[in-house]
Amino acid sequence: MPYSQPELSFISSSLLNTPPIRPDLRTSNSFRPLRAETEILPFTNGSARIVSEAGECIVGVKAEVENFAEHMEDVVSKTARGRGGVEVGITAKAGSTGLKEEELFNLVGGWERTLEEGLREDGIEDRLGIGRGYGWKLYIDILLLTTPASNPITLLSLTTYLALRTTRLPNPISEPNEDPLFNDDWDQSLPLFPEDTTRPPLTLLVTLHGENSLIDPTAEEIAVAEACYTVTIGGNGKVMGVKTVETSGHIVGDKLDTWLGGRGGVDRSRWFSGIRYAASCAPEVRTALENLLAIEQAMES
Amino acid sequence: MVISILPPPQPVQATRKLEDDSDEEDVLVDNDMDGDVEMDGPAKRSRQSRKLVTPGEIITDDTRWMRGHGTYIKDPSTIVSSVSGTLVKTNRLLSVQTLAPLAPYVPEIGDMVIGRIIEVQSKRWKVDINASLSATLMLSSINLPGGILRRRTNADELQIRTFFSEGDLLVAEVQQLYQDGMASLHTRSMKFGKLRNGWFFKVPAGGILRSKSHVWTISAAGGAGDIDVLLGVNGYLWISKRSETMGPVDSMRTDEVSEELYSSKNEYITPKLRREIARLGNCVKAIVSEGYRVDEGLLNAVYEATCELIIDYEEDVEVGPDWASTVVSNGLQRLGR
Repeated sequence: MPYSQPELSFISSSLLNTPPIRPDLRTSNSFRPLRAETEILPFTNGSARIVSEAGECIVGVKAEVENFAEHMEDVVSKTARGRGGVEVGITAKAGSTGLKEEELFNLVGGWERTLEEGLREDGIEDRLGIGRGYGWKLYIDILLLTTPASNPITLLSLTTYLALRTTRLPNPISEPNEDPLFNDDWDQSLPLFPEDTTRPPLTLLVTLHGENSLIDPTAEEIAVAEACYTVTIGGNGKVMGVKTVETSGHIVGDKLDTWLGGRGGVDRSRWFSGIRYAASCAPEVRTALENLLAIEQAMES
Repeated sequence: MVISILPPPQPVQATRKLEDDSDEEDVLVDNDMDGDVEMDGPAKRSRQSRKLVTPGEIITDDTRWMRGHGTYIKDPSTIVSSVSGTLVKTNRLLSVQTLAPLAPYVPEIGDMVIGRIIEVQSKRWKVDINASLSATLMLSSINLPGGILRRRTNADELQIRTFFSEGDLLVAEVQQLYQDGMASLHTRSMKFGKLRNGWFFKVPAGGILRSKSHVWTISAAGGAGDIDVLLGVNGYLWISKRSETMGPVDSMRTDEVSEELYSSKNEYITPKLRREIARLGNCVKAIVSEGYRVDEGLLNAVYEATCELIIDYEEDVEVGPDWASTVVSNGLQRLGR
């Protein structure tokens, strides 16, 4: 939906202030309030749901045993612990209000590959191995329930993080050189991310306005951004991927009273400082998510 | 505060509890008859007569009951719900209270609404007013520059985008309703027209209380200046710097229409005032999220309550998870509600 020129010039000049004045008075690094719950889908290994102003998202993680060495003749590889695999799929709610496949692809296309890569970087495939060439194949299904007003990637990423962190896998009771056999007691299951492992990657959306960088921008803020991109930060702090989101650009007009539309671009140093800003926010976001998990665990026990 | 994540809220309780009615089982048609799954099993067992109905659902075929809002009669005496909501019984009257957040705006003649142009046609605009059908604004229903009594010419038709173009926000009045419920708007008064110098906020249509005044001025905290609040009945709000050229006071000077009326230029707005505009918007959201409806008195009271929490006007106020409930209950106390 297009915005009116007075709106664009108002928000753009507000965001160029130091510090920026966002339309809901958030600071540049705060998120819109969100509500989250975990373990909502009984037939999955891990699941989560987040509702916020940005929309609603449900993520389910399912694990299946697969023989990754089926076609290998090599005996050594069959007796080795083996490896697992990860597959991510994103869908939007079907129906008249849902997004078409290509619209969803335009918003978040390619992100699922970055996520898979980020998980592999964390060494998840080795942890998913069971033995004799068998391994767990993780299917991460991300379902977007609302038609997003803006790029929903932050919402998807936070929900996926929670779902992965609550994922548990059945405890194998077979020896590594036997065919896999599992303890069917769910209480004995093992977490996918034990305490000493690196955490799943997080993806944050960032917009640049003059000297200001904003986290979790709204649709209006994206509309007047000089640059907008998603930054994926791995559990080890590495930047796994940056994807540009198209924006219309830049206000000028000397008195900041008139919207002149897209023109501009940003300096290279500004571009990198936005990425650094996102990377510096990631640990705090991760802490907030871990706090929620701790609260949920405390409520259960 | 970077991020605050809360556990999910408890399921929403129906606002009005129905009286326990011992003969409810006899009165209400059992849905199992047509193979439907009974959704409110536990509620039934606990004998709570809180019941959610959906459009087309048969409420009763007992002739003792009268039809109220949100229902219609299907021959000969069956009362059927026309909206989804909770069933309310007042003596012998059956009505359905809609689930307010889901209901779109239903226009009525005389309503002051705020809308956004979504389409420009040859002699009229299509305007989004948060209703199920978009409204129309005829070229003949606006004030043209150079005086109200001027004839609409072909030149005006060709320059239709100089008055309003796609995306423009305007405040207007519902002049007429067509048979299908579509609204026709007009802006033929100085208090209506294009919106500038402020910010647009949106709440569900049910979040606004229809009241005597929908336009008023608030003197902003910290000497930031005056702020105009335009509370559209349709759930759209415009909160802006008090403007000299357009406003509720000199509403009848219709002969002095100038080119200024359709300008898209903002005046200079101080950062202080921008903050107060945003704060008022947060107050509106807080009122709605706490389940109250916005009107002049409540918004003013809640705004005053937020001003008390401010220490330094140049600093951002931390909006914690309890912020909304704190300021709204504080505002209600001020009103003595």
